[in-house]
Amino acid sequence: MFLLFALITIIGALAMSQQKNVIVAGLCMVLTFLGVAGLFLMLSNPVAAALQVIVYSGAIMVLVLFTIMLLNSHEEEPAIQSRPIQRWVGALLIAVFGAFAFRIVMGSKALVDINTLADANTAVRPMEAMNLAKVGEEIFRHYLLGFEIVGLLLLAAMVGAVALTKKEL
Amino acid sequence: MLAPSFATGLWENLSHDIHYIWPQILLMVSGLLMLWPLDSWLLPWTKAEKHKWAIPTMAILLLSLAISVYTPNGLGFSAMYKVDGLTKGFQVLCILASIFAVMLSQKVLGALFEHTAEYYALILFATSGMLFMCGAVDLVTIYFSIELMALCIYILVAYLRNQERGIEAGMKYFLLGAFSSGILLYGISLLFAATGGITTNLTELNQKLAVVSQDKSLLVYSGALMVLVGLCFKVAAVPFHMWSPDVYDGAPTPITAWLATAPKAASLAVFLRIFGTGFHSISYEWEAPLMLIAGATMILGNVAAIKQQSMKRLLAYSSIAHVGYMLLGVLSKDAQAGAQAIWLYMLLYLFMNTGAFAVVIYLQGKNEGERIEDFSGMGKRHPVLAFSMLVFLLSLAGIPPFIGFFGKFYLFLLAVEQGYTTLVVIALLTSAVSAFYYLEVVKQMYFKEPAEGEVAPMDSYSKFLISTTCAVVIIGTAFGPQLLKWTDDIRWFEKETPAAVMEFPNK
Amino acid sequence: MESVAHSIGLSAVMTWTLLKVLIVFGSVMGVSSLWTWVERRGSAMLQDRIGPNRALLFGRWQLLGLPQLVADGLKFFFKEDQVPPHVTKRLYWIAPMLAFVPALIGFAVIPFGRSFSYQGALYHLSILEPGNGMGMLYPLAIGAVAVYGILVAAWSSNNKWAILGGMRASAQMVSYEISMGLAVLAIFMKVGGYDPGEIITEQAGVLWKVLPNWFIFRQPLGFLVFFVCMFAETNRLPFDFAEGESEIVAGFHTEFGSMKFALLALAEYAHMTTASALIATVYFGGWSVPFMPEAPVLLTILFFLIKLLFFMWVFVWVRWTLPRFRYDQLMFLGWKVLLPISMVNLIGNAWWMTRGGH
Repeated sequence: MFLLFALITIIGALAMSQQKNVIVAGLCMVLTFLGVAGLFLMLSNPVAAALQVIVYSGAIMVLVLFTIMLLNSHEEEPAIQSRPIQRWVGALLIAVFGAFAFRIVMGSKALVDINTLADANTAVRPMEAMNLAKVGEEIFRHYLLGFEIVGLLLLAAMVGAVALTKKEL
Repeated sequence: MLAPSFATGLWENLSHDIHYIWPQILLMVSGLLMLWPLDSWLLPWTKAEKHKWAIPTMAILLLSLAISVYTPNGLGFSAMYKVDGLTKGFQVLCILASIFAVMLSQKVLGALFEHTAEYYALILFATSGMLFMCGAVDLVTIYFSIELMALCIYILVAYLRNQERGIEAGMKYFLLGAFSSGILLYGISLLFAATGGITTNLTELNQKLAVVSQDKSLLVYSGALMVLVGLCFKVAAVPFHMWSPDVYDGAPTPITAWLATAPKAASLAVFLRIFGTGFHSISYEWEAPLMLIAGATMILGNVAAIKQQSMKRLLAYSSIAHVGYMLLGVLSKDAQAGAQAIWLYMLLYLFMNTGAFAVVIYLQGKNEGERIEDFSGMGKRHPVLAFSMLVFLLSLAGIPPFIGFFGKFYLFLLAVEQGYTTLVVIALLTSAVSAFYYLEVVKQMYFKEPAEGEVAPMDSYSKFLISTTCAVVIIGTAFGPQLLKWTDDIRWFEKETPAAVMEFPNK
Repeated sequence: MESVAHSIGLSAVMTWTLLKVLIVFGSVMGVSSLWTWVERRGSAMLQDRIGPNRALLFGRWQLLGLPQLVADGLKFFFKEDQVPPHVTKRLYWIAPMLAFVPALIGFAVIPFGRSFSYQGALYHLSILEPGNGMGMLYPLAIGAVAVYGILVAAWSSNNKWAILGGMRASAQMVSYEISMGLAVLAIFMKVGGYDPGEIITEQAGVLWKVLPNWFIFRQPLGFLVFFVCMFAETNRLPFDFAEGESEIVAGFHTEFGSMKFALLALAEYAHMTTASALIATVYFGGWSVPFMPEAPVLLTILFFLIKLLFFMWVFVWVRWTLPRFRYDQLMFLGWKVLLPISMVNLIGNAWWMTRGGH
């Protein structure tokens, strides 16, 4: 199960970066988000999974696609051919990094646990499942300061967006 | 049914620790008030001009400066935020830099009719983000406050939205900044995973990292490296500096002056926090990369500055180089001494840099000052201006009688004590290189014939600003040795016990 | 149950889940297609005309025009599947499925009857067991994904009208999702949980001795917001901007024909079903029977069905009663009316709760 979601995520991401068509790339990104949501589910954090879907695929990507449609760029822009050396070095680095990451992930104890538990279909979970109440308590008790900063951050982003785009301030 | 005690508990939690963050709250709340009720209701009512916001902004910043100095030391918000010498010292730097930025802004914004409450509110928000950065002792808080600061800066960089250069700069900064934030966050999550997914608190992380098992060392290594990369981007250290010249060039000049000081001061505070406390136990992991980065930053920053034609780009590269010097302090194993040296350097750099930019801004108002050739013959046209610029530039170069020398001297001394001789040699050589391009400007000012054009008299405001900073730089020279001694008294890192022993020395 | 499960070689849990899936998805599809008929007959009724009555079963029985349903289905099946030459092929094929699947699976978390125990085992009447941690977030998430069907359909058509429709749909859904989420948050707060089961149990009992303890009476403001948002989320009139014959022809499904069109149309009705079920669950006590705390299981299912069908009828009713909004009016309503209302509702409730009320 883990591998399935991980593959969905990775394939979505790769397809997105390779895709020349902007809308299709956006849809691939949605696929990635869904894969990540699945991974959250595997980590017995359904709240994060649901929020991932609601916020990222449901709101942000929709707005991105909306903007693309608004600009209506059906024509695919010809990509500037990058230097082959760069491309090969990049691919090599990715391969090395990916190999290491793969080794770490496959060797990690948690993955083994998850797989055995999922296969055995037992009720016992590796961690206690997260729920909304617990998320709320964590945010408002432990991470209160971070939460407030994020609130200000979003406000600043909003102010900035208006300041940069509105014709007459 | 959730008990209402949750709400009361929340309130108690807030009110218990709120005295640590009064400066930030002041900045936030006044920024908010400026944005909404005051700007749209009060201002039309009193028929005041838009640029009247500058003075309240400065007053607010000064007030928060005073409050931040008198904030009691301690640890609050479930070990997320700490007030100690490091926090206060760098908070003072950030607020000072913001005040200078507001002061510098007056001319530029006045000329462009871009006086809006948003500009000042964003400066206030960004400053509060920096203040949070200075005190954050948890990776979560650190990340969020970095983002708060960076986001406001992206917007301010692109603030002159009618100019293509500004938009381009903002866009570049935003994209690269978002990318680097991603790297930083990834590094944080790797470290979080490597230590068992329990804590993001720096002190606890330090203990956990010290005993992390062998098979996780790859995780730790890549995590620490990624955090390093993400932070290096924020201070524009080589090789993560590419954004810096373009952004400095495209941003409104007061913002450029601010960008060269305030975010760097805050980021260096984070640097000290993370590498001084959080990753202290794994210093073998990040020491070599950081040494490389520091060396490369010094070399490339200084060498690239030689070829620059634009004054703003020259100052951008010089600020990269200065960051390279300051990274020496981060490398110091004695975090106390490192913090002290960096703080001193940053304080001095703040004055020199602001002064230099003030001159540039003044000339920009006359449609020059962008290019180094515009400075030719300034010794005859504007003797005071040219003299001030001379002082600032020589001080930036670190030539002995001027104040910049003390910062450099102390920093290099510390690095030698810590055994980074090679780096210090590089630093000294590159300092010599830097003297070359600073003196190039001096040469333009005094030994070149002035371009055609009438001599415009200086207005009193710029005169005051420039001569004051100049005076500080000169008079500061006399107090150089005292400064060293004085910063010795500050206890930069409090122990975890929240009991406040050492008060921040009052000015 | 055990023996049945054994005979098809599955565990009892699996069999029960499979059964529930079959029942729920079967009935959602059944109700959805039935409602195409209800819509046509209902509109005829409201407009004082007769409606479809020409299709006859075996050439004899009229059955209030019900055979029209079968005829339509057969027609869609056997119609030539034309693909316009200018579409983006792969997306054009996927789009109807993308629209239909979320519409269908959104129902999975909603309990349609009281849990009962049989031979010592407890059976829940919802596909996803309660306590799965997703709770009411699940239908919200699925509803959020549902917009992609319309978006992809619109974009793959390579047609200006279609793209306009898709854009409108996406903007509308995003705008109204926020108000909807805030309205539901107030409910979460009151309940202290977000599982549909918990929400329903919270609504058991009697309010002021005469009314069932439903959330519609306890949070009328929230209900108003949620109700309006549901219309926007299902793209139903008065918010059907993805289509709109007068200006953008058939909007996002202009280029779709035969079974693809049928799927897109059915998706709308499946959305309606899910939305009705949500309204019934969140604000009308779900399967609970008013004034009967220990109602038998079958009665609870019946009551759930009654509530569900009532709200589906409301959808039809509204469609043929209210005129359409204009697009800017829609945005105004979403951002400047509903959002403040839902915020006031949320904050007012929070304040009320800190004062010890509930």
